Amino acid sequence: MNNVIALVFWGWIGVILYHIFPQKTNYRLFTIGSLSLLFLYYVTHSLLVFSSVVLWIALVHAASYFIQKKWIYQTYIAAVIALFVSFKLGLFTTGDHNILLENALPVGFSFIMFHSLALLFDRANKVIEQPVKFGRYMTSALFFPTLLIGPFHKFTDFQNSLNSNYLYKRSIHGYCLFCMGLFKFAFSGIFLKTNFLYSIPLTEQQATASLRHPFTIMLILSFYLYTNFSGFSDIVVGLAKMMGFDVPLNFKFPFFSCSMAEYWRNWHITLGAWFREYFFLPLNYRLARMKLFKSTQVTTKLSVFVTFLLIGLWHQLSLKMLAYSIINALLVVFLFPKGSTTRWISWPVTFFAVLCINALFLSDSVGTFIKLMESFYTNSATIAEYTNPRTLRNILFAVVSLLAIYLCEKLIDRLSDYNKDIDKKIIAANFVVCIILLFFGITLGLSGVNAVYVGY
Amino acid sequence: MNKKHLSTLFIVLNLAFSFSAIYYVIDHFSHAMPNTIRKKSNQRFGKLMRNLPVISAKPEVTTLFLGTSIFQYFLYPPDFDKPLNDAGIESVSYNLAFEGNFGLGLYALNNRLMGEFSKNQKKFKAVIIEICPASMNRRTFNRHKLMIDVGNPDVFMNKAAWKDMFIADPATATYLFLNSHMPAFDWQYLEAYAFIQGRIYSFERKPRFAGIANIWSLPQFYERPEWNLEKFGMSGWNLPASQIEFDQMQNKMHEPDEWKAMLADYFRGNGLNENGGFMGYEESLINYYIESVKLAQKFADNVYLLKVPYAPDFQQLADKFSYEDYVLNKVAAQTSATVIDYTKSFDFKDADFADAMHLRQESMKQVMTKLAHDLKDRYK
Repeated sequence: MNNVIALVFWGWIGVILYHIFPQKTNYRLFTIGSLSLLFLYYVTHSLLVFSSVVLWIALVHAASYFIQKKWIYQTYIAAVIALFVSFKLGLFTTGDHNILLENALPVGFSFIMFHSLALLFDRANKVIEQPVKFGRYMTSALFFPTLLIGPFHKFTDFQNSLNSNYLYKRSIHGYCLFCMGLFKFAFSGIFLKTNFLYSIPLTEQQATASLRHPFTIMLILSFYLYTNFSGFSDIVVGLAKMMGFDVPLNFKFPFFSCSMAEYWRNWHITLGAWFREYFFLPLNYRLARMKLFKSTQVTTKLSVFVTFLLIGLWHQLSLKMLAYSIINALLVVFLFPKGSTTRWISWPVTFFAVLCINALFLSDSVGTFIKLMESFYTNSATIAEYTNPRTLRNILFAVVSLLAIYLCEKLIDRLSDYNKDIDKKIIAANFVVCIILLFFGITLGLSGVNAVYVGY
Repeated sequence: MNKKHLSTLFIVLNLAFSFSAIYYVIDHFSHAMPNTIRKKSNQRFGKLMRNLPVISAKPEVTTLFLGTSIFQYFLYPPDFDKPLNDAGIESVSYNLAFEGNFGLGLYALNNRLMGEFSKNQKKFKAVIIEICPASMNRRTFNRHKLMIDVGNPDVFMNKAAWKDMFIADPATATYLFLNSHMPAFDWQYLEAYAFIQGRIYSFERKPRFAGIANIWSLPQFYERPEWNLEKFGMSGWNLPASQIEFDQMQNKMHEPDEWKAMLADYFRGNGLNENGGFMGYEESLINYYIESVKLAQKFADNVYLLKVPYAPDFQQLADKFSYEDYVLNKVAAQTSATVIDYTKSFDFKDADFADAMHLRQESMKQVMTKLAHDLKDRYK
């Protein structure tokens, strides 16, 4: 069963219930909580796993009550890290399958882990002073749209959304995001993957194919990753907003960044924010207090390095992700760290760096990535590919679609400020855009489109 | 009207417009192009079923041949009946086209045939079913996982099965139902879709709609072919406009580079995983095949499994990376059906093949002639 289809199905049930039932806090908590539990059972298909997850949530909740006893949450952190490492090392793997990841917990492990750690840290740092109620915490942790691949949202934000009034602007914005996400996701899988990539991750054979220029492959890989991941995120955020919950956006025009630091502020924003708030800042603070280095800049750079190492290894315990995290850390620290005065120099350089790291991310190994880079020199037969009318047509369609995605995102972004009055023309334009996006999103279809990020 | 109604109106109206547009386009094409996939499915199964009273007038002397490949028809449609009839064997042939290779289609068809024949208690003299171990791999399985998960091959032929499916998996059922008119959710299409990604389809044709996205270049958007493939069970199929196009494609395909790339693509799609390792056979597909053979044994006195040869280059790859005897032996052991293995019986060259796993018309004739002679000996 395609996770996205399940999410859309259950999400729309949630939206309809939100509009039918009275919009009081307890009603909403009950409907969303019930739907989240049902969804969890639906994706896990196992009473044992379902109970284990609920027990896990209950244990975290209990730990948050006794937060003054440090050993409790320190033990919890150690246990979570041990479980996480065992996941990534594939201790539950039999043959080609990871039993837990594919059958039991195909989704949600990372999200629940981040969510629980954030709660414990917030309680320990007294950001949340009062003990949280179990029902609310469980609904927040298992909030079903975000259970698959995030975006990560905090418990406090969830609670605020729960108590907030109905906002028609939020609903319209959510709907537009949903249409946009559906289109992007379908576009990534059906079009980019089918016509250009054939299979993900990139294999050595594809990387060295004689009729494909490496730069084209890198461009397509990056756009594929972006449309796939941000498409999924937009569907999630859109559904959540239509249900009255403000879940933060995960992407903000990342390809227009002029430095790698800016790129990471605009790409997978919520993950970056989590690591910044709960890992990078405390680490930097402690290192600064220890006064290991004279310069605070060196301390910050070291913290950046360690943070990226952790982000990389969180994705996967492998040589590829180690290289990925080190390259990222180096780029963040040394590539236009304070931005450049001339945008026309910094943007192309950053863009190329982004293409490289995304290609590495989607390669099956470091060797494949190196082969891809080598083929910049060895590959000369590029004309044949581009003179094929079918390829030209596909490229034209890809360029037009990407341009359309950019313009539509800009248009939908105009709806994101709920405090401003929105021009009726903007609403009308969004109305038309949504019809077009939904039309192509549904007719392109989601069958066989896989979310790249679900594995993490 | 308060603000809440404004957003509800926005969403509801938008959904209404979008789905109207989708309905309009699909409806337009389903009228303009008379062959939606579902209709084709019904026509093809229907044709066989309609003809059954005729072909099964004397089932006890009739041999039923079930071919299992769309390619065989797509490139050079062979005539299975003629060689058998020439050898004095009364026969009827039927090609399962897309559904055949992965077992479920065969299972569904045999279910139907069994239902049909259990009424009059008559059995065919023999049923010959093609077997293709290379297709019974995990890649094929994954490609059809959605359908296999549903676990009921009748879903696409029997409306009552929708109810059971809805109870088992409401989201999938709703999704399939909403898109039931669309080929993307028909298992025939799933197979076609996989082929579209490969080289076999990647020749220039005449797109009718938009002309910019491959998705709109699906078979149903093409004009009707000039050929009459009705007799092969391909009623309503849209093929490239002429045989010349096929010949051009064929010549292009046998250029050495293209041929090598195609073999690699083919084998990657049919046996190797991304890292070059053999994927292993998918037991559930083999089991479906075994069940299908067992069903066939209920409406036939003899069941033969025919293994046709692969292109020599491809055979080398298959010998190197896979163990095809495993499938053949397993099916034979569990069903006690006779395997007629022609893997090494002919001296074919690569040029005798339409592609890696499919014979040209002329080569297929040779296979069928040999089969006819073999059967004649067996029937004595």
